[in-house]
Amino acid sequence: MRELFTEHLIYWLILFLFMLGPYGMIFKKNLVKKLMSMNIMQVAVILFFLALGQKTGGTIPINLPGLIGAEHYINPLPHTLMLTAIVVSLATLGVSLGLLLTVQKRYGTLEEDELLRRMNQ
Amino acid sequence: MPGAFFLGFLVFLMAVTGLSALFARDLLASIIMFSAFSYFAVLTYLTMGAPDVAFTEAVVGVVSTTFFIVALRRMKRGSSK
Amino acid sequence: MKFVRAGALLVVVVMTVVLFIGAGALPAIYNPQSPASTHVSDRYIEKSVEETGSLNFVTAVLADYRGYDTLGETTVIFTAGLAAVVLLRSAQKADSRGKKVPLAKAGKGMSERFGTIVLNTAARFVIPFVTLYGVYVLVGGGEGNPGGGFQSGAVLAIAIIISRLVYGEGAAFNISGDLALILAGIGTFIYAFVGVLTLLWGGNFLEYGIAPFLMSAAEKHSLGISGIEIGVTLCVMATIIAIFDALARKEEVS
Repeated sequence: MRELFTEHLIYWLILFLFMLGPYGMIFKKNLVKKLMSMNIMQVAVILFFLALGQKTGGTIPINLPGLIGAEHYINPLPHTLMLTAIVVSLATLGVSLGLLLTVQKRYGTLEEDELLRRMNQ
Repeated sequence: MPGAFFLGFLVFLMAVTGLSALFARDLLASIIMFSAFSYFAVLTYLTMGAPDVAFTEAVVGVVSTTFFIVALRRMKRGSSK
Repeated sequence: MKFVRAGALLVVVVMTVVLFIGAGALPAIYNPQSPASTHVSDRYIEKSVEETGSLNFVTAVLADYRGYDTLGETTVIFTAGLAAVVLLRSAQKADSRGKKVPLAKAGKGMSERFGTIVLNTAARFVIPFVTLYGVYVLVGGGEGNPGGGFQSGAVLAIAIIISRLVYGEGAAFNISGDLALILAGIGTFIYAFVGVLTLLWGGNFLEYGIAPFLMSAAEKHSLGISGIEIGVTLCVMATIIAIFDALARKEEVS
């Protein structure tokens, strides 16, 4: 049980978090909530990448005097990639909110069913 | 490895806050729960030993909450469940 | 409709099961011998201090070893900010086309000061410290602290957003949306300019060691990292402010 927890259960929890994304994007009718589930999915992907870079006995990837050797530090490469991904997600959030406001202005609603009905008129 | 248990607990809390963000009827409550989700993400990153990523997520969580709330002024607050 | 929903639920469940089975085949977490931690990252950890002079490995990888990647990311952020502003402003323009309202005048109706005395006092106290901390994060990024251009830009943008939220659009400590777009362009340009400068000195793109200064190689790399971090800071800060400005613009009432 202990081995299971330390080896693979974290991945399964992260995957459960990831699956909130597709679930919300399919079953939630409000466009803002669809956007939120997309963000939740993105956070889960970031967690997955960070989990891949973990090491037993590794400390944070900042150089400490006297501590030399790759086995003492966590892998810094996933941190770098995910750091830029977070900031890019902020910019794309701005674009998607802009799109949502345009939809709201034109059709007066953000509910999916109502939106489809008004588009067909 | 006690860190793994704490990590699992934090990811579980993230799932709880994420679910309640998706199921709230008021969009403002939904946004606040999303902000809490972002906060637990910060704690999880810190537990995983990534201070740079945690710092970025903390700052970006604040800004994205502000974006959502500012955009909410022009939307309707209610939402279907 | 019921069938569509049932099918979608089936897709979600099947995807979950497949992902859960696939996760069992991943290397165990906390394993130092996993493939992700054995190839290139050892070199980053062992050599980055002597090669780049940056104590923070993340900054070294971000700004030096993978500087070209980060240039792409910065361009993506700038482009996304531009797209958001164009989207929101074109919607406003289409709205006010019949009324002959100039675009620059549209949405300037928020000039009244709507903060209470508590908000005003708190903002006056908080904003200088937030700004100072933003600059500190930029400077301390390579010196063994977590931080760097992206975080610094976002913290500085938060200072300006606080000012905008409390004092309204007529705040003294403010960057307007148009100026923010120009600043974002300048930030991206600074980043690319450092790369072109190394090209002109005869090296590869973003090869800081080629600079003809009387310094050690690590100091040259350190200087180059500082240069592009300033560009990243400007770009991120200005993009966030531009998007906030475009989102917060008041709708034309008249």
